[in-house]
Amino acid sequence: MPDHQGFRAPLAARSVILREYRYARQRRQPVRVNDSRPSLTSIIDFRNIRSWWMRLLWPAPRPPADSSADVPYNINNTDVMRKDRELNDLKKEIEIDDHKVPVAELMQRLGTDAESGLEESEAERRLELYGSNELTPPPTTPQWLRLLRCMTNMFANLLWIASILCIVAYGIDRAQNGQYAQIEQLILGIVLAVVNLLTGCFSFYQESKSEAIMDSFKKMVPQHARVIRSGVEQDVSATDLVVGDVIRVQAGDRMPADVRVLSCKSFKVDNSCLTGESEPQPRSPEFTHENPLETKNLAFFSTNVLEGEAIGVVTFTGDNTVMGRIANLTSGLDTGKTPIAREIDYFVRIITAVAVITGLVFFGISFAFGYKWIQSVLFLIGIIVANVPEGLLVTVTLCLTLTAKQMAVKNCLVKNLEAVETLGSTSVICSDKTGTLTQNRMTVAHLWYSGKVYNVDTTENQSGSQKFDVSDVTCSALFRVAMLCSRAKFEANQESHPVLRRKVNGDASETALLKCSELNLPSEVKSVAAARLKCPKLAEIPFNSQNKFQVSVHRTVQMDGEARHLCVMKGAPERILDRCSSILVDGAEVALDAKWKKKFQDAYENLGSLGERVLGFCDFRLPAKDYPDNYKYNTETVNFPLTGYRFVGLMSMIDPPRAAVPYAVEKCRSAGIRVVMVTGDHPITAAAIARGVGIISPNSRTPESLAKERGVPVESVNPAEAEARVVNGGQLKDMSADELVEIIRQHREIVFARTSPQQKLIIVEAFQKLGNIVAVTGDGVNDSPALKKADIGVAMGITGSDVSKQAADMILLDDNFASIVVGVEEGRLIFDNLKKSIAYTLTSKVPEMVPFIFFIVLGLPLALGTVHILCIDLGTDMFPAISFAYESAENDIMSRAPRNPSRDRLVNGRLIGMAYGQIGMLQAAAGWLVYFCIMAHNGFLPRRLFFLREPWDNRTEDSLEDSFGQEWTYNERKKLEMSCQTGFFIAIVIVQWADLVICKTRRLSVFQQGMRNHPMTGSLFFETILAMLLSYVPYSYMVLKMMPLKFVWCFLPLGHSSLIFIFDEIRKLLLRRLSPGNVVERETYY
Amino acid sequence: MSASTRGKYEVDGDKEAPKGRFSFMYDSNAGTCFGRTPRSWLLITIFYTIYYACLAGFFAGMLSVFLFGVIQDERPHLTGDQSLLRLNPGMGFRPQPQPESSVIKFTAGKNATYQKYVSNLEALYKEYKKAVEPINLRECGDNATDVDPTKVCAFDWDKQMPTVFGYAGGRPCVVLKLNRIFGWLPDPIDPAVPHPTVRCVGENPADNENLGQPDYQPSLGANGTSSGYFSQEYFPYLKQVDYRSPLVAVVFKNLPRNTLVMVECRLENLNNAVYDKADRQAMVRFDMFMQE
Repeated sequence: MPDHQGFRAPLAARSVILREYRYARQRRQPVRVNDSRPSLTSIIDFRNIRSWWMRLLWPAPRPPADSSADVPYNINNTDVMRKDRELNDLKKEIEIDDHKVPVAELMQRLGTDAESGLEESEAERRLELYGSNELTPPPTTPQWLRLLRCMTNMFANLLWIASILCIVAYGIDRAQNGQYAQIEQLILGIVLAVVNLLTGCFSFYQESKSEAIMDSFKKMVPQHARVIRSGVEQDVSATDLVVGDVIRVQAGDRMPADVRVLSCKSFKVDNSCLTGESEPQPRSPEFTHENPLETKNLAFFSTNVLEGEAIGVVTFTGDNTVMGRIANLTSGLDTGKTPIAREIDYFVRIITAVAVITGLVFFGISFAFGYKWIQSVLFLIGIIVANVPEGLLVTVTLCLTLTAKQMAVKNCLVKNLEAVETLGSTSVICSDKTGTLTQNRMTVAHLWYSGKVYNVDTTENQSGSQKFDVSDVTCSALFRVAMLCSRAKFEANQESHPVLRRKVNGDASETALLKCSELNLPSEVKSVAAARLKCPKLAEIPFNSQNKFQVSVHRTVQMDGEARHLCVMKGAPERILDRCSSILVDGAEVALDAKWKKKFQDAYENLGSLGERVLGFCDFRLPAKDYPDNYKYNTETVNFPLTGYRFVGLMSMIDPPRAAVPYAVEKCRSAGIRVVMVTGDHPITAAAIARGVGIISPNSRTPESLAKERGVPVESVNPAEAEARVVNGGQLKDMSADELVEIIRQHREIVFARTSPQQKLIIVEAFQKLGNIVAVTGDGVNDSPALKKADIGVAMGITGSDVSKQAADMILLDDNFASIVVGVEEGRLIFDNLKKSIAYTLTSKVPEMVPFIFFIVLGLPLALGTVHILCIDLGTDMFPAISFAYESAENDIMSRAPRNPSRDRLVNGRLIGMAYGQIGMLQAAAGWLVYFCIMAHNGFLPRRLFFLREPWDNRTEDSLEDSFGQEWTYNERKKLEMSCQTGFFIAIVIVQWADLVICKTRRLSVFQQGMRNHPMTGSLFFETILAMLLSYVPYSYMVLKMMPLKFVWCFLPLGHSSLIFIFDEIRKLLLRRLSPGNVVERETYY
Repeated sequence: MSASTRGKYEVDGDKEAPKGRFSFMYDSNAGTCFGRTPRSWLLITIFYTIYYACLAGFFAGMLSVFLFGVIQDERPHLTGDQSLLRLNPGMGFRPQPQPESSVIKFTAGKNATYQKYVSNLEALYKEYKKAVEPINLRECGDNATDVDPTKVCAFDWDKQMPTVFGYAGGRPCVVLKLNRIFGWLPDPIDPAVPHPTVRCVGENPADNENLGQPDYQPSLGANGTSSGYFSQEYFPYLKQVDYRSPLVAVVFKNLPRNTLVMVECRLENLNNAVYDKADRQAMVRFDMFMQE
């Protein structure tokens, strides 16, 4: 074996094994080395295979902070770990050498032939072995399973248990007591089950957002491909392509697989779905870059062919293509729970624990008191039902839905309801540049002529429009070159649109030139098209990468009617300057001396440092005698001069920021949100836009600007000294996760440039590792993994790809970054309002729970039934709780820092203290007041009631004496009890009025906040009417166990209501008046 | 950018030292137990003590206004149609030694099986034999002149009812009682018999056959159609001192052995006592089971 082969073998072997491994993984088969290729297997170094194996299985050295690092590497891995590993594999940068090796070697490796392609039979065999060329959809959860999950959250499970206990208790009761069994138990059991089913269906309905990420990827896959097999060119379905196939593509096609270009003719592809940058990329057979995404000899699955045609060999298919990896990465990412879901989980856990513990404690106590187990079970059910806020999850969902609707009006379309709040807790926004911060439209930003730089208005609506003085000879000459030396033209029927919005055929730079020219026409010319008509093109040499210029010859008519020909040239400024011998200054042609060259150089660098793309323009008036009107130009032999031109000026272009963005970025800053740019674009351009929009603030310095300031090379500057930093993808690639985290901590203003889709994901993860809630905005397919991984992914509604919209949680309908600020504001508001809503809902839990406790411990006849608790939780409390969604903010929520997810909880001890310890107790007192009054007015004085439970609930006791010697039958007592329970219920409704008003504000007095929340005011009336209906509708006692009440009893709780109101107003007054951080604030400001 | 805004970004600076699983119970660094220092616990306890004391005071105040301020001792606040206790009396029976059971199950002659029933009845008997203040009594009988409703007629058990309850001889006696309702006066259908009467029948035809004709004491009417009665003169109940409800003893003479008999005793001859089995109005039910 020759030496050089020995050196290359591991590399080649690696690539083959990599491919084999990926296919095997896809097909869940053990990796096997293809025995049909003995020439390859013979050169594989088996020790190396093993090491590659290991590195594929456990790819990245994982940071210790990662949770899965706790799991020791173990051969007997579970599926979960394998999935984890696969995902990590996908996160890695693509490492292939298919673009580096010589074509012959690649052909040998792929077992194919560049001329005749694969043998038909071999193609079939490979298709059979490796599967078809398509993206495998991720395993989806069946609908019924998701419905089941919705119905089995913690609260629901508790209620299911309660429901089953009810029905079982009824069954046993029935078996023991026959017809005297308490049918109410059965009804309660069924009601609980129905409540569970309904809330489960409701959340399922809300949750069933389409999980169609893969579908949207699939839309990008072409249908057919031209393939050469057994030497015959044929049309096959794109799914039948296999590795090694030789295919032919042409303009208009989509790449059917990852391909190495073998030969091509002016082949250009649009890689925007991979890189986010929509510049056409020329492709050729040469290997030009280490990075597979940058090299010219690779074209990728699902990218568009814009120009020319090519023949290439398929290197990867289906899930193993670059796009397939992005798709699998995106759909495979586990996004985890949203912050609000975590908060609700936390809260549900607390309440569940409280419910179970109190339930079991009193279950035990009731046993100790000698109750029969069936009675104890009923207590248990009562306490569970009283503790669980049955309607709360529905309330939260509805509040979020209402907010989502409000946001949709403001151009934020929320796909995933919980994301409504996420934006409010966002602490970092990783924004894509192109299209989000910028207009996604190359625009001429500066002109340089006659030795001066002129600004061009780049706003979207041309608000700062100032026309250039085109009577200036130099200026008009510059525009003439720009007009003529461009192939871009407006599409038909666009005249009615503003110039900047018209559609143009042509590349981005030429479009910019065209639009700028159209806006700055001399008064005698109607349009660029008219000007071009006057100066017909006689010849043209198009731009190519060797020359870096474009030149065309036009026939112009002078004032004297004499036709003369004009050469106009544009291109890379330094190349253009080289071809010039003079320069046009203030209308006069002067020699291009060192002084002017210096001026040019300064201007060029100056504009370049702004991140702008600079083009140089020059022209040359051909002498009429040498180039008569009928002169035949030949662009192959070039029979006209290309040097000695007259330099006219420079034009520089940039994709300018959107007008509203700087303000939005500023607002984010004041709201404590860090805005980070993550872009696939060039670092200098990225930095320029970042400065333009305020992501890098005017007075902060990057290591580069520090170096410039001090006049030292960048390497000698300690990056830690700089506030801002531009990190490019190359640096990022060599960085460990810890280093990245260090950079994020050191610099407050960061721009990531030239990033790959995988790197975007890594950046998002790094921010999340620091405890940040990360929002990501993006529009391209390349952004989709980051969008999915982000706590909230924000896609662009107009320019965004379908894939990005599918991966995102939210869509900005107007593509405007500024809309995010609206979202943040709404998110923060809803978080505050949910707090209030929960405080309101939880308060009534105390008066619901105390009757059971007193029933067991003090033997008081039951003061509130389970059915009544449900009436409150699912009836009267529901609408007021929802109406909190309409409550306006108390103070400027955009001037405070985002909440700290580990400290600022949705439900905290202070909220529980207020709801349960203080207001709740007051409410319970109101309920007992009504209870004791009704009892006493009918004959049972309070002292008679204590420990009366046993005879009271005795069905065969038909002559129970009250305090006045009257004797009550069982049913008479039960009717009295029902009246008392109705009274207790009404009392809760009435004290909840006061609770609603006090929960409206957390700090302000209600007199400061006002009662402008009309849905809330309406809900007060609604709640009252509902309560009246429930108790006064005939026969409601049969189902709801409610009796019509004497009106006077309904007014008894008003005293407690006013007390609640006064108490809380005083509390809030102290909260506001005392010094910040006072004891009232520490203990009660929830 | 000021230093303060800079601080906002240092999220990791908020990370606290790693804590044990149970640090929420006791944190030695902060000296906190369940999130509070002992001093803080003391203060919060004092606060809640005061708060709940005030709340209790307020509650007591409200209660005294709406309850004790309204209610008189001598009569229920709500009576008659105002009250939830309707003017439609229910009935009770004795012996009922276990409140939750309405079965009287015994073996004639075996003392141990009926002792509890007998002592239950004897307890009631003792209650009726308690001495009363003569000042509370009024003249009774058909030609009584003193009909002051604040005084009561004395119910003389010895004269009206058996004092031996017949369980030993298999002729058990059950005592029926009309529920007291403040101000209720019987409104007899038959003016010739101005008393509420009571008759016991089987709940269904088979029971009826087994039951036969029980004896009532005190009773009205001839054999075969006789019924017990609660004399008119004991009404109305107005929470008089030393008031004793009138009783009727039912003696089951020929109960079958080893057969459960479901008995239902109904109030009759009244316009203002409507029989309602579901609501147990104007009736009482129990089960007799005499074993061999």
